[in-house]
Amino acid sequence: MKLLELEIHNFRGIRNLSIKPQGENFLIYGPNGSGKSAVVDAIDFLLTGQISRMKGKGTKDINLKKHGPHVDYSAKDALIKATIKIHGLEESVEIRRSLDNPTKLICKESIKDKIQPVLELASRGQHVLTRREILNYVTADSSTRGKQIQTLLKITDVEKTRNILVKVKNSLKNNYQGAKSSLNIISATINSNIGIENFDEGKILNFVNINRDVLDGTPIKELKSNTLKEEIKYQTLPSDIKINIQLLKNDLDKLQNIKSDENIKNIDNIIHKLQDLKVKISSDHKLEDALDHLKLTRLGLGLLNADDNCPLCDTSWETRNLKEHLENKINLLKDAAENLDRITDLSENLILKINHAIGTLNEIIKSTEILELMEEQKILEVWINDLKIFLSTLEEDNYPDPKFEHNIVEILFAPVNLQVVLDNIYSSACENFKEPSEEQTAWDNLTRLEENLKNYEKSINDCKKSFESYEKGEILLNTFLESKNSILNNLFAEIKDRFVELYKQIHGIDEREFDALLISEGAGVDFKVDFHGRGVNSPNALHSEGHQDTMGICLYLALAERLIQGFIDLIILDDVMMSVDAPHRREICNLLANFFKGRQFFITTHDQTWARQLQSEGVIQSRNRIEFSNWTIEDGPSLNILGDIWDIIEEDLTRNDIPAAAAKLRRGSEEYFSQVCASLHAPVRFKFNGQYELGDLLNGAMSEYRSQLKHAKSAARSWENFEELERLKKIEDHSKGVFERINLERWAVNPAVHFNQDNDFTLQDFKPVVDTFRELFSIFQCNKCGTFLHLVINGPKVEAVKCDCGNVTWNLKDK
Amino acid sequence: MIILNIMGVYIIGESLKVPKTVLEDVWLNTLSKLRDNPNFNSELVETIESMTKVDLINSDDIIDLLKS
Repeated sequence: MKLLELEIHNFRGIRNLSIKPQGENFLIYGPNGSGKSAVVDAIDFLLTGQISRMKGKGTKDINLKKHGPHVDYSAKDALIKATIKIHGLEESVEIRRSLDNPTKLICKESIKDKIQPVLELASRGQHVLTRREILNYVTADSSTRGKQIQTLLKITDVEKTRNILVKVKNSLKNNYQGAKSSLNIISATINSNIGIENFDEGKILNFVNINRDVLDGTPIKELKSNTLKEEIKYQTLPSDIKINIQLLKNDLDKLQNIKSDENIKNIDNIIHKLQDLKVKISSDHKLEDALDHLKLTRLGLGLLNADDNCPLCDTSWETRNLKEHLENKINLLKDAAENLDRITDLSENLILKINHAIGTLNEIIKSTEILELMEEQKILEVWINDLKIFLSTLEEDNYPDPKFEHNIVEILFAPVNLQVVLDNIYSSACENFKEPSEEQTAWDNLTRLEENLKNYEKSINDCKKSFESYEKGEILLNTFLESKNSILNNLFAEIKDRFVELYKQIHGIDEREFDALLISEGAGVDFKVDFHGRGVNSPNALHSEGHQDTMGICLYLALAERLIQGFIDLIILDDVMMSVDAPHRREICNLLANFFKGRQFFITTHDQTWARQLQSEGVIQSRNRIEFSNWTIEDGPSLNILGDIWDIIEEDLTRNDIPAAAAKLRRGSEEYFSQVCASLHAPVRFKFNGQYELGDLLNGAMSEYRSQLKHAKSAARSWENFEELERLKKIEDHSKGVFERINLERWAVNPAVHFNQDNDFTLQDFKPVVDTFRELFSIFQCNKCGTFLHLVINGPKVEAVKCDCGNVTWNLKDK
Repeated sequence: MIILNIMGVYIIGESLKVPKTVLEDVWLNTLSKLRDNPNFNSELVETIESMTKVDLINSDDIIDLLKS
C-alpha cells in the first residue's frame, strides 16, 4: 500500500490539511508542537481506527472520541480521507474514516477484500517507528533493554503471552503446594491421633484393627475410610457423645509435649543449626554457588528423558553419557551436598513438628466449638495461623526470614497463657461430658480416623490433580518458550544480517568489522554488538548514543522490511533522528534512498539539517516536502510548501497577489539555496545567528558552481577530452546567461514582499522574476533524478560534481 | 496461479494472505508440539488453540482449563 493523497479535517491539532505524496517519500518538517505527529496519528487512525499514542501506559484518562477531534470540534467533524494504491489493484482507491464511527472504514464494497490484509497488518503497527521508541531503546538500562528491543520490534505481545503463561504456571504451582501442605497437615493429624511419627499405612491399619477388636470387629486388610467400621455392631452407640474426654485428654497431653521444655529445646536446637548453616552458606559465595549448581544438576538429572537433550541448553547428548556427567558433577559437589542435605533434614524435621502441632490443634479446636468456648477457640486459631505462616516460609525455603527471629519461633511453639486455655477446655469438657467406656473410645477413635482418612483420600486426590495441572502449566510454558526462542531466533537470524548490512552502510569504514548478536533469551532478547573487533557488548556499553540511534533505526528497518513486505510499502518515521551526526545522517539518507527501493517513507522531523539532507540526498523530492510553522488552536499549523513552490506562486500570481508570491519566492529560495550550498560545500559568509539571507546564499551557490565548472573544464583539458570540454562549455554558457539575468532581477524580490506605494509591482513586472528564479533552480538540480548536484570528496581531494543517478557528472580530477 | 515470493508470502490469484504475526507463529509451533505430548489430549489442545485466536490469552481461562 502506498499513500497518494491525504486529507485531514478537524483532527488533533489540525483544522484542514491536504497533501499529495503521490506514492513517493514525503517529509513534514517543523518545530516541536507544530502538528507533525498529528499527521502521523491521522494515518494511524485511518488504517487502524485507533491512535497508538493514545493507548497504553499513562493514557487512562484519554479517550479517542473526546481527545481525537480538534479541540473546538466534535467527533463527527473529524474526518481522515486518503487515496491509496493497493497491491493487486490497478486503480487507486479512496478510503475514509471518521472519529464519529472509528471502527468503520468507509470504502467501496468491491475493494473491502483487497484492503482487509492491509488493515490487518497495519493494526500490528509494524509500519510506524516513533521517536519515543528509539529514545526508550537508547536510554534503556541492561535490565530493560531486552523489553525495549521487543517494543522496537513490535513483538511485545509475545512477551505479554509469556508473562501470562508464567502467571498460569505459578498459580497452578501454588495450588499444588497448597494441596501438598493440606496433605501434610492431614497426615500429621492422623499421625498425631495414632501416636506415630510418620505416616505408615501398616501402623495405622494396626491401630484400626486394635480398636475394631475392642468392638468385636474382624481385622481389615486394606486402609480405606469407608471400611474402618465395616461390620461393627456398635454403630448406634456413639453419636450421642460429642466429646470423648479420653481422646481430648490425649490431644491436650500431646500439646503439652509440644510446648514442653524438652521439645522447645529440641526445636531451638534445630533452629540454631538451620540458622548457622544458612549463615555459613550466605557468607561463602563459593559454597552458595556450589549449592545452586548442585540444585540445578539434581533437577537436571531428574528431568532427563528419552529425547537425549540437555534439559537446560537443549544440546543433544547420549542420555547415558549425560546422566554419568551429571552424577559425576554431583559427586564433585560433595561438600555442598552435605550442607544441602543437612538443611533439608533439619527443615523437614521442623516441618514435621509444626504439622503435628497443627494436626493436634485442629482436633482440640473441634472440641472448643462444641463447648462454645469462643475465646479459647480464637486463641488457638490465631496460633494455628501463625504456625501455618512459619510452615510456608520453611516449605518455600525462605527461612531464616526476618519475621521469624529465633525468640519469636520459641514463642510460636509455646504461646503465653496457653496452659490456662488448655485447662479451661479440659475442665469445661469434664463438666459437660462423662468418662467414656473403652468401646466408646474405640468407636470414637475409628470415627475420628474415618473422617481424617476421608480428608486424606481427598487430599491425595487433590494433590494428584493439582500436580497434573501444574505439570501441564509447566509444559505449556516451556513449550511456548521453546517455540518462542525457535521462531524468534529464526526471525532474528534473518534480520540480523540485514541489520548488520544497513548499519555498516551507515558507518562505513568506521565499523568495517561490525557484527551483532541477536538472540531470544529467557524473558527478553539478548542484543549485543561488536565494537571494532574487540568483542561483543551491550549496545550502550561502548557505542555512542548516535551509534545506538542508528542501531535502533537499522534494527527496526530490517524487521519492518521482513514483516510488512508485499502489503504496506509505507514506512512512517516519526521524528526518529536524534543523536546522529551530520555525516552519518547523510549515510542514512543514502540507505533510505538506495536500500529500500519501492518503499514509501513518510518522515517527520523538527531537525532542519536532517530535513535538508533528506532532500539534497534525493530521499525526498522537492515537491514532497512541507514545513509546518506558527501553529494556532484556531487554524492548526501554517503550511509552507518549500519544495515545489512554483504551483503555489503561480496561484498567487493568478490572484494578482504579488506580495504573497514574492514572500514565497524569497522564503523558498532561501531554503533551496541553503541546500544547494550544503551540497556543493559552497563558502558562505558566516553568521553567528545562522540566519542567512537570500543574497548570502545565492552568491555562494553561484560562485561555487562557476568555480567547480571551471575545474571540470580544466580536468577535461588535462585528459584531452574535448567532447566533454565542449559539453561543459555549453553548460557554462547557459548558466552564465541565467546568472546574469538573476543578478538583474533578484533585487525585485525583497521590495515586492511588502505592498508599497512606491514599489507597486504588477504581474507583468514580477512574472519574469519568477521565471528567471525557476530557471536558476533547475541549474542546481538533475532534471532526471531531481537530486541536488553535490561534491564527491575522497579524503582531502574533490573528485567530481554529481547527482545521485549519474546523469550529471563532472570529473574534477586532472590527469 | 500460486507464486511464492522471497519473503514466504503466498499470492494466490489476486488475493493476498496476510503473513502470520510472530505470536501466531509461536502458538502454531507450540500447539503442534503439544499435540505430540501425552499430557495433552487433542480436545485440550483444540481448546487452547481456540483461546489463542481471540487477542491475548486470559490467564484465568487457561488455569480453569488446565485444572478441569
